[in-house]
Amino acid sequence: MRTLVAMIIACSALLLSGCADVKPWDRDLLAQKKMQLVPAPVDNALDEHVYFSKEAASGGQGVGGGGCGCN
Amino acid sequence: MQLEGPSCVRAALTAASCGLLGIASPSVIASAAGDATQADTALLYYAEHDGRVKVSEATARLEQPLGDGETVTVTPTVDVITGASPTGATMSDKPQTFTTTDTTPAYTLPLKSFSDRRYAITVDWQQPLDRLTRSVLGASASTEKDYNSLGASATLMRDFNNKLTTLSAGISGSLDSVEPAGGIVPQGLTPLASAYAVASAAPTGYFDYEYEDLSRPHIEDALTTPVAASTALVHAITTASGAVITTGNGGTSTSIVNGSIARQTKNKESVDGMIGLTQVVNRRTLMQLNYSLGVSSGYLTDPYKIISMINGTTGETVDYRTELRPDSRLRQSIYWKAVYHLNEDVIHFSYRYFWDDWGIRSNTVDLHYHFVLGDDFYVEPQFRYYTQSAADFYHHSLVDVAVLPRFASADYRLAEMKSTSYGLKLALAIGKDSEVSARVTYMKQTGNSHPANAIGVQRTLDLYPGLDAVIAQLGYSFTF
Amino acid sequence: MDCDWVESAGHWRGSFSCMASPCEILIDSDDPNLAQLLTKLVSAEALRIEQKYSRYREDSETSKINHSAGQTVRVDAETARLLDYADQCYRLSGGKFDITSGILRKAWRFDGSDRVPSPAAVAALLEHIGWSRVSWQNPLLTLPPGMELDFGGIGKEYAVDRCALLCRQATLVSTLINFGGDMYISGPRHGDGEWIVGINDPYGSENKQAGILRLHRGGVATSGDARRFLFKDGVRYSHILDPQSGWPVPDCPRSVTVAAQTCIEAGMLATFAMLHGTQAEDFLKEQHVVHRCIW
Repeated sequence: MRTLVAMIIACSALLLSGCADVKPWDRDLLAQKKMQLVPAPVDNALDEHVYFSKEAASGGQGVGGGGCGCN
Repeated sequence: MQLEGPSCVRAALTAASCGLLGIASPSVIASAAGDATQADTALLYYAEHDGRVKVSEATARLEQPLGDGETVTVTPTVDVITGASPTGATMSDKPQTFTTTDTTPAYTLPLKSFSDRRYAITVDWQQPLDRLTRSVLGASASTEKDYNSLGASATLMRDFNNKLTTLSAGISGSLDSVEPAGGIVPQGLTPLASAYAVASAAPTGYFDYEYEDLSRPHIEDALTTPVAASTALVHAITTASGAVITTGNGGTSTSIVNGSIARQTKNKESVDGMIGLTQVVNRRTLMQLNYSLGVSSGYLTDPYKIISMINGTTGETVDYRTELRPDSRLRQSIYWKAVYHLNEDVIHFSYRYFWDDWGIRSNTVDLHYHFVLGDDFYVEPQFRYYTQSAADFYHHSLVDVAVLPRFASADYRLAEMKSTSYGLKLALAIGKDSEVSARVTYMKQTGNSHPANAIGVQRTLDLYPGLDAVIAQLGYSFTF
Repeated sequence: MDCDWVESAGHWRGSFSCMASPCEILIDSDDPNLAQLLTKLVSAEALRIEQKYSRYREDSETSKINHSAGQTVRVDAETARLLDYADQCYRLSGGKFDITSGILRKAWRFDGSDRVPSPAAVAALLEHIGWSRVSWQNPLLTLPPGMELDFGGIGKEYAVDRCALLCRQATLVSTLINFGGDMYISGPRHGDGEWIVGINDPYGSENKQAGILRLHRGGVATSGDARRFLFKDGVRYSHILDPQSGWPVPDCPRSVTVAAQTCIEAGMLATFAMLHGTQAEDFLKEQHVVHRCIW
């Protein structure tokens, strides 16, 4: 549990640290499709479905998306 | 001029000019801005080794901008699932079919065959609420022979810090109902004979239970062979003339009712919530951190899965019972994702830690390397590593005369296991707005084949089925 | 300000003069009220920007900055965005695009004659050129004495895109806004038609075409030295000056036309191309933009 909390703090620190100096024109790379958090939504949905039906864990990326009887 | 790279100038200028005009992207000043529909279609084929489960799936994601940042996305899906899935019955060294002279033990895994078609659709509606805030409302529905699901979701996103930080919060709910093939929801943790006992005296409805492949070993055969005669399974077979119910131990046929027994259904409700933070760390790096919490309640048991009762000394199977899981589950997860842009290539990395009140703890590591090979072509190797600990009530089998636990399941998906997937995606851009892609993934699941508490003959058997699967996907994206 | 129906093309045409150029807006609609409204909107905004950033007006932002005699000036949000943009272009071009280089006009007068300035005169001016000498910390600007800012290199394209933004807020109808050759097209004409834009032949007369662009949407800008140059001893001196040397960029194309997503972007890409001299064509090819270089 303690390692989990440490990890959360580390991630948050990392997230909020380097964000100081990103100018609007520095967002050129981020606009590309390959830089999106989910660049291929269909691939992602298909994978999630396969792993949901073969494993005990699920989700994490967002809410919604639909259910099925495969678990 | 020394620049960071040739095409960076253009990209940088586009971004700079948008900054000068105070707009998010050039499409803001265009009229009838981006009225093209984006379509992502895919065909997927999933096949497990030994001809177990096979799934063919077709899906299309259609995204239509409605103007002013409003978008509607519709995703219909059709799955066809066939094959046989492990019932949970423990590996046996007894032959699963009748033989006369051949005494060589054939170690067979008890499987249950099935065939099903699933239709599903999700609709999402994204709406900007003001310059910095957006909401997404979603609805989903799915139907298959034995399972129906209805769901709704709502997510709110707000930008801070010059749009470098985004906070999101979402909630979703779903209502599912299980109507097992055969029309009866069996009693949990009950010997098979009594589990399916027909209770109702005033029947309404119709039995419907199809066997797709009678040549494959299935529960009924397992029971009619060397197991003690006290076990019997009540099952129904559709015939052209209506429902007939027969008992499976030797062929006595008793016609109970002609086509009218109430089909039983069980419901399951889930509510899930999520809060997330997305942060632009620097020009090349984007990160996301999400915390999710979900509660499910209702019928969470798998009506088709059984657990073997074994003799405490010899390890031989003496009986089968249906499984039973708790009627509530509290799930939580932390998900972290990082996207990093190298010179041209991009790395996607994510880690998820999941835990629930069934005792399951799991770690998932996912890595994709987007390798740019040319203006129109890229290759993406993919790797995924997954581990999970067993659910508190997971048992590969139960000793027959021991005290029964309150809940028990032998479903391999609740056991301690590891899964590794290796994949490769190739994609080719066609023209300005289309892309064709192919993806192949090899997934291997392994578990504890020789657990410490194996008894007698079980020690000589591989008690964890394991899984080898190949997933092949073809994709085509275009706009119209 | 005029607003006329162009029968042959089936659209309205609003026209006026601004920024020392003929300005027009073509409106793909048969609604005269809309045409009037948009023409008024566009001419008002163009005038506003001209007056705010003109070097010649005493009450403009540019004059306020140029007469600050080394004092720190607080600029407004719009000027701040222009300065940020100029700063980014300065860095992206390795210092070859520089809004402090306007004072070179004191040595160079491109009237087609052979009066090339002396190296000493140019060197003296270089003392007062260099964006890196300017202190710019949004919203405070400090210009060393003797230096001047000139928004001429981005003003017209900025005005075109600003007008496009205002039109977009007023209507979904497609418009083509053209200020002296720098233009923005907001969308396809009725029936998914293209707007047809002719590229002027720099060697020919006013209306002779050297090429045609067919566009549904986007900005177009042309950079060229066809009319402004000096000619001495067989050497042509283009009016595109390198702010680091003070001398014209050698061997640049007669005209560069670029089509991009906005007029500002097209204009800056055309300028960068010119600053590349002989490499103009290669530069534009690497940027994957629709372009036309005429040598």
